[in-house]
Amino acid sequence: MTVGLSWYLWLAAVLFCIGVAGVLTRRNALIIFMSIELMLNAVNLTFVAFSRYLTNIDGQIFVFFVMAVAAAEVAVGLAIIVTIFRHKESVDIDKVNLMKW
Amino acid sequence: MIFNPTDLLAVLPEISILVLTLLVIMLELLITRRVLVLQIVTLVGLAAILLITCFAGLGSHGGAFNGMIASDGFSVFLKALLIGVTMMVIFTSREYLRGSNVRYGEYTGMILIATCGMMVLVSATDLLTIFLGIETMSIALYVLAGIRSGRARSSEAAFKYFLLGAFSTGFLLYGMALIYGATGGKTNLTEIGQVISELKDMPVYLFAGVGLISIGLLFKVAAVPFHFWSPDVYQGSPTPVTMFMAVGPKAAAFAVFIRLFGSALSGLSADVWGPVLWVVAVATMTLGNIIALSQTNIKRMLAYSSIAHAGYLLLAVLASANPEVHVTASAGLLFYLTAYAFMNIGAFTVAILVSRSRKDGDYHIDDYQGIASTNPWIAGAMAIFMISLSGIPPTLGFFGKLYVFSAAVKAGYITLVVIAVLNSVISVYYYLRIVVYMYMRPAAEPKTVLVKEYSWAIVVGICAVIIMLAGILPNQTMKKAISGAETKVNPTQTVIKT
Repeated sequence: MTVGLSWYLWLAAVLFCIGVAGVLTRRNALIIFMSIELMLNAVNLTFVAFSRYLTNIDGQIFVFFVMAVAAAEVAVGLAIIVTIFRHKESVDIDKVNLMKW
Repeated sequence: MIFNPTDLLAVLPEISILVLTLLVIMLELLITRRVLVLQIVTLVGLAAILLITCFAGLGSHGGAFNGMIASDGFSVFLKALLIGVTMMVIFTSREYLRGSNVRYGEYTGMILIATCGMMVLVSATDLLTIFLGIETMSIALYVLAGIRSGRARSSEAAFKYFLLGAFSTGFLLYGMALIYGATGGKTNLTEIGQVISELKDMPVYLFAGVGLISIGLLFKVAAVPFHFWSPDVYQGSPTPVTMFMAVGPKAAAFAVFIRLFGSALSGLSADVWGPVLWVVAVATMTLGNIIALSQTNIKRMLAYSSIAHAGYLLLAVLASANPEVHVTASAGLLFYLTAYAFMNIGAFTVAILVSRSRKDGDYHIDDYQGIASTNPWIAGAMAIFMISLSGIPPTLGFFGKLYVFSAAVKAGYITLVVIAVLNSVISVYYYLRIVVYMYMRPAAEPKTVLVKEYSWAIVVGICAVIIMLAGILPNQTMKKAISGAETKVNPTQTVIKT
């Protein structure tokens, strides 16, 4: 039994779904943030798997860009979470509710 | 795959914007913190970049950097529009930010970086450049939404925008990964279009990829059901940032939409994304208009109105998948985006003006009562914006709708156009409510006397004049839009330089 392309694709799909479920069900901003990172890593896995399978280097280059951008996003995101914490003394998304409808 | 130095010309506007960004940040850091100096440097720089964009003949380049970027008429038109929008936003921001703890150079730098991202986005013809453009734009916008960090609402807006934005980026990227795999390792839009047209049996994950990528883009244009972030973010962000957000990212995201769905994925229109986008368009305009009816905060009302406008613009995307109306639909989209930009900037600037005339700086629509008697000029301009937003002739907004809807009719979306016209009728109610408040209601005591602030009045005046003049002479704008759309890089026409 060989580990083929579909194995990686399924693993990535499962990881992505875990990430989506985490974003939708968790209430702590940091955990949501980690779940988003999980989604991005599922994407990276998909890219690398396709890249290897198709022997095409573009996918791996794409992964580098995804990682670089994700790092920039983390920097901005954590700063925003810090400002929220200063106002609310909490990072629970249910408490971020000044504006509705 | 060779590097051609003349390709750098194609991204000259983006490079200039980045140089200007660094210049402004360094100027504030090292030489002067005088806001006026920084503002003048930024505006002069942007004016120069606008001239470069319009007159350096950049539109004729076609593909550059091995097809990653297209410097065609379509992108040049949108780049010029985006630079104009940025100039007006920066012009209104100085007075707005007076007395706040925001460092002007940082703020301007962020706006310029976001503009650069949008400019990359409107000329992107590769999945990688689309991704980079979207992220450059979004990350700068997350910061801008929360730039008044001392205010709970501003931080909350940034927080919501960031979490949902990053979430949607995940979908967008996963879609890109699946399309990359399904097309056998292609990231270039033109190549993707060719591969898809030759594909015999479509892998399931191609459909999944198209679905995921459309979720990501629909989020960026705030289409139903991915619109929940937009009213909160619009309300909580500083108002000049709100008007920037309402106009810029929407224009940029629709440019990508039409390049991706109207060209590269147009082969899948009929049986994959066409019906879905049809439903999304109906839901977006109907829900946007109906919820806007009950809003009492002008910023939230304009937020829902911009959701509704995204619904109308989706008609252009749907129509553009038909190769025969592709050019007409693209030109209609360009025209509509121009109209939309000036109407919204004008309306948001009036909103700033009215809110700053109150002590608490609130944005309630009752404040508009009786403004016509105290400030007839501003009231007249606001009436023009509202009439244009609701699409009544002879304003620019009417012609925008006319061109987009007629393209949709040509592509055979008759039912959709009927629904869109009915929606425009609904929208007349809440737009004209503001006009009725201004002209027919007596002013509440104490009367709202608007602050005299020349920069806001100038922006309002410019927008009103453009809307009326271009409304009377729509042909000139439309000619530009058509010539832009005609030279747009299109999979069926172009051969990429390799």
